[in-house]
Amino acid sequence: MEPVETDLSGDVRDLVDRLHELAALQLNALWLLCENLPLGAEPGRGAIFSALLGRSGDLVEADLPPVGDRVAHAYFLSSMTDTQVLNQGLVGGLSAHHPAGAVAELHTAATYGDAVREVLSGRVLLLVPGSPGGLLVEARGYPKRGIQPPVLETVVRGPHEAFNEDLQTNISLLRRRLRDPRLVFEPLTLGRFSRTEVRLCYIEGLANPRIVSEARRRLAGVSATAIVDSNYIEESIGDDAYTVFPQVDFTERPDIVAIGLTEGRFAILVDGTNDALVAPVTFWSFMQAADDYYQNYYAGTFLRLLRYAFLTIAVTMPALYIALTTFHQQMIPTSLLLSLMRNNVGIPFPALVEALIMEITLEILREAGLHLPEKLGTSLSVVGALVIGEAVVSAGLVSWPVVAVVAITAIANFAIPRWTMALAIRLLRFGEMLAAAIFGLPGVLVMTTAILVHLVDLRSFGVPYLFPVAPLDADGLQDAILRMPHWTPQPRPRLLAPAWRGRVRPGRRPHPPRHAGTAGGDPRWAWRTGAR
Amino acid sequence: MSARIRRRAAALLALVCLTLVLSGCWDRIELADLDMVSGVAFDAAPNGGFRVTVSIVLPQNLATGGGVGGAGGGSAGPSEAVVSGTGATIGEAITAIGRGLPGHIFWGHTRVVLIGEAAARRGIQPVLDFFLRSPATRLATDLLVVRGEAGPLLQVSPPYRVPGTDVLYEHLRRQREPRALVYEVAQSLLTTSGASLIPEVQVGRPAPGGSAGGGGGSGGATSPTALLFTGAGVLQRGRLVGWLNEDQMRGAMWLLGTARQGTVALRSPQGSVSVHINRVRIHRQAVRLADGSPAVRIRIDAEDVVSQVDAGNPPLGDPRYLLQLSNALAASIRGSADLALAAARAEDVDFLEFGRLVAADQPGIWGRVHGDWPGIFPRLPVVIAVRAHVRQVGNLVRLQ
Amino acid sequence: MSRAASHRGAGEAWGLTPFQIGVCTMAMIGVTAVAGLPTILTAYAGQEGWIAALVALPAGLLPLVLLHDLDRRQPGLTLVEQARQALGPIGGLVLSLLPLALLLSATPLGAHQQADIVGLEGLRHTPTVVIVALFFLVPLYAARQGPEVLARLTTLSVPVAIGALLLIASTSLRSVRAENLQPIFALGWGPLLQGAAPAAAWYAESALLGFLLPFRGRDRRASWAAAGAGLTIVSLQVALVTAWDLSIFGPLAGRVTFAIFQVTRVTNLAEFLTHMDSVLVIAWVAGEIARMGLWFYCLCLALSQCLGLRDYRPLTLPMAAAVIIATCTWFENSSQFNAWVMHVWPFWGLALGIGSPLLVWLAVVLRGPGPGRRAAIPAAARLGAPERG
Repeated sequence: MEPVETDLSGDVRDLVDRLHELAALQLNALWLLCENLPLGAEPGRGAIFSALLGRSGDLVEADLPPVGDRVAHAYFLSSMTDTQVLNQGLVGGLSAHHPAGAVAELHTAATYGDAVREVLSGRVLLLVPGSPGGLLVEARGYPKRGIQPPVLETVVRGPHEAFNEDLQTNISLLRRRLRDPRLVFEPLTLGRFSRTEVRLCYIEGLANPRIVSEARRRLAGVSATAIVDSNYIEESIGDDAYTVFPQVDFTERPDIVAIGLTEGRFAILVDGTNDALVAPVTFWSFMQAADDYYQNYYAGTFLRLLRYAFLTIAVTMPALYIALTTFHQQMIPTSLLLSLMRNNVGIPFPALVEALIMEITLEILREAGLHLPEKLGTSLSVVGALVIGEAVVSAGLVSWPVVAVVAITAIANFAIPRWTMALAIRLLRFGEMLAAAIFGLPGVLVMTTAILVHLVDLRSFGVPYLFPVAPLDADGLQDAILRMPHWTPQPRPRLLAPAWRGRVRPGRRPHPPRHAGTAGGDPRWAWRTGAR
Repeated sequence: MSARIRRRAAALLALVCLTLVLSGCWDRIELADLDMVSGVAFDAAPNGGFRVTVSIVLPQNLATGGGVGGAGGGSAGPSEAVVSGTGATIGEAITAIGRGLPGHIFWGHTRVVLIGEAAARRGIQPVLDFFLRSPATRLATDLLVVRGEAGPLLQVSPPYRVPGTDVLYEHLRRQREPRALVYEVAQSLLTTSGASLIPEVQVGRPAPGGSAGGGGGSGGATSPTALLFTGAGVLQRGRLVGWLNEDQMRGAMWLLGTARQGTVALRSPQGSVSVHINRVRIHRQAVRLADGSPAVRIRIDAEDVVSQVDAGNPPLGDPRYLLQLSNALAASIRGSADLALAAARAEDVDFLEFGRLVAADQPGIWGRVHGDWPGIFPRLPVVIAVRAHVRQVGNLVRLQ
Repeated sequence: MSRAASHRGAGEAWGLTPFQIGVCTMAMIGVTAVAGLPTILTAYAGQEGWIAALVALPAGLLPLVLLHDLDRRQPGLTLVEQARQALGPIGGLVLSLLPLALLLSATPLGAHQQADIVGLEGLRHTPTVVIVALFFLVPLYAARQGPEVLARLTTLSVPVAIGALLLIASTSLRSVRAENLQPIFALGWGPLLQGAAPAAAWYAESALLGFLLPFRGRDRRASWAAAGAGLTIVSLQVALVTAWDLSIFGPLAGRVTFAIFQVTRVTNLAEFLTHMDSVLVIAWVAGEIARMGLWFYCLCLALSQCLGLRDYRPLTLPMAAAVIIATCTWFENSSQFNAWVMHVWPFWGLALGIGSPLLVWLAVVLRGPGPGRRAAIPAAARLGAPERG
């Protein structure tokens, strides 16, 4: 009989789909059933684990060599464990008395749900027949990046270590810098599907306990399906939901976090994110670069003040240009005005439109440059300079002064050390330009005052955003505006570390050795006075 | 009202306001629309009104300052355009000008104001009023008078500075002439004496060989290209009543206390020497005489250096000769001052501001005297003490 | 609850510091005083105008003394609350009409002055209503947030305004002719006192601190000294500006509008930056916005307390609309405005400014402190806005 060729492909495909759906339903149902089921000594345990974890293909079920008359079964995911550690510690070190041998970490799993989650995090589940519960062994070894220099926050002088995506590495980076038992890392798990490990770290006794408890409360309230980046947390724990200003600082550098912790702030480390969130912050923290503290304090102060000047320029310069050239021409010195007028001959657009064209083009360039691979990036900058600088002006669309203004503003924006604040400033700039175009300088003023009022009322975990300046605190001022030398008394900010307010050790100003030959002198310097 | 409705209402309101506001930027003037007035001249029109002439800067014709895409080399045309308008009042005349101009007349950078003789004799109050009242003008604008018509002076564009009125402005900045700023002249109207000095400007003969097309683009080869300062006009209560020549004007500056720098030529039997005055200290004081009448004492101190030996071979190494020079200089200053004083007394116009001095220093006497000031002023005793010191001789003592 | 209150941070101190009180005094009284008083003073007192500014200072300190004594007897209450406490709701309402009248009349006055200045200097063709509304946005927003936000805003704005003054002074230095100030004291006491009257009316606005001082935080005693210091600085500022104006303009001084802005028209920085009036006007208006916020807050607070409302915030929007309308429609032209300020305001402002605390003080002294809620509302409960219930 000849084989009948019937087209069963559609039905077979449907059948396979149905089977998959059933399998999915089955997995879902199984999970819901087992999640909170206590893990006892029942013999069918292994099958349940195979069913729950077996769909992905990287589950390894192994029988460990018998110890005495007990055979332990191990379940782990090959993608998440380091098999070398496993072989060494687990298999080789099993002893008769302690089935787990000489392994570093040991947990127990009480429910099926806990056990599955731990295996998914990379631990090894050991089931010993006849014993209730399961043992979890730490053998995590998934591939991760090594410690690399920071991308956004580079310094000239200072450590070049940055956080990477592995939580344990980040914790170790912090522990190396603050070796004090009072440094606490409170664990948390967030995210329904991601089950991301989060650590809340602070220095117990130094940080304001009210702030810490508030942080704990807010973190517990974060509900998300997956925490892939710390920004998910950052947006959920801020004080003000609608502001452009960042209320939590994020940094890639462990030394910044360490300094913040000693000032009474707390930090949040998220597994899978290569930065740490630091709070509470003030506006002035976003204008401080790590460099300030690693360089000469004159240089530090000068650069800091320069940064404030750049901040003002970045926000208001295009707006001021628009306002002055269209509303208040009498303010511009005559020769400058003539030069501007000469450059503006034949330009068809009003000043606001010119500035917007240039600004938006610059934003496009910036965005494109961010996401381009390196090799294309250089050609883009050349193209950008050529296209924007020359062609647009030669075509008579935009005048040179506007190009100069926008370029200076862009550079000033880059001087803002923190990326999040720089983003906020970019947005504000457009608002100022619009206000300037409609009302001139009074418009710029009203817009700036509105921003100020908003800033004055903003809080980061209860600490006013403009803290040493707006509720005036004379001690805090010196660190916000200037960079005082390390040997001066460094009082901690009143709101952040209230317990330490009084216990400030006055620093010692460096000085050459005093005259020897007297009771307080160093005898090695006796030759200066000739005394013997 | 529920929160949602409130939010929507607020958003709607914000949107409406935004559209209203965006539709009209009421005060916006683009740079391309500006007609910048660099100098303005007021003349008397034949029928009793005003003839106003303005010089508008044409920025596209100014020499470029090194821009990459601009036109290279010289300019394509005149750097300023001169436009006139006539009307019964200043306002009407300006409106007449505006009818011929495409853009927005912009007074914010007006450098100089020229007033013709006829208009000045009628009274400069309308001009002062215009500049004081309008918010667009500067209060510190310089006034100048011209013998004859002031309008044609704006056509003159000296080649060494553009726009042409800049020449006048920069010159006045150096304060070689008494500077008549609008608000100060306005103040003088309100004092008892009501007199003021306004520098006079004239068209000069072109420098030899300099009239053929300098970089600024003049008119034809026969048009004059120089503006000279030749004295001052005397105004009382805003009306022109007389003129001072250069020597009298210089003397008046000494007596007013506004003299700054200058060069004086001194002749002596051994030769003639030019002396440059560096620093000047002038102290004016009103004193009370024994019989209760006022007097004015003025002390002038001048520090100077020898700048040039013009003729002869004077013994500059000899300190006594330098003392002689000092005395000669003092005498010269004294002479100018006397000239000015004589002119003031002859015309009975107190442009030396002695009235203010007495009012400030001797208020008691002023109370008695100010009603009759025009009668008292010509006989007012004025003591002028001049001391000059020639301190330095420059880098060379004697050439021969 | 104001946002400021509900989000109060751990350890953040409640209330205004003495420094903030001083700065608020300077903003509330000084900003309009420096803009409007010099011309009036020179018009009345000629060359002695600047002395008149100093002579009038006690008129501003008197309401402060009365408020201090009131606070001693009935601590922690605003002026309206003091009246209600002493005389009950009806009597209190009658007495509260005085400060309310002061607020209702002076807020549109100040706004009108501000709109005049800005309209003259920068925005000539913009409709007045748009200018006033524009400058009302930020004070409205800030007033809703409460006195602490207002105080912080003032701390930032007032130095800008003072910096503007210093800049004006330094760039117009070469135009100053000191002999214009002479002879000193030649006109005698008559014109001097005539000039001191409008200045006194202005300083007497310090009675409105009765709506701000109850919200002071730590250092409660130092706040009074700070307010007095602020007032003294204001009178010095006015004297200085008047003297400056006289020395530059001489006899012209009383005849120009808004003396300080005429001074900006002769400013000159190395012959390079001339005509800087716009920038200086703007810096000044920064102080005006802070002032407007404070006045508006006092107005809404007073009105809400007169009407017995729990919270002043629902009143802000309607009152803003009312004030904007009043500002635009009250005066027909600038000469009417000047006439009102020169001839009516000295009596009106002085009477209300001194009368408000005086009558309340008399009521409290004669009748004794009111029964019932004797104790001050505990500080923790008055988080940025007085709430009853």
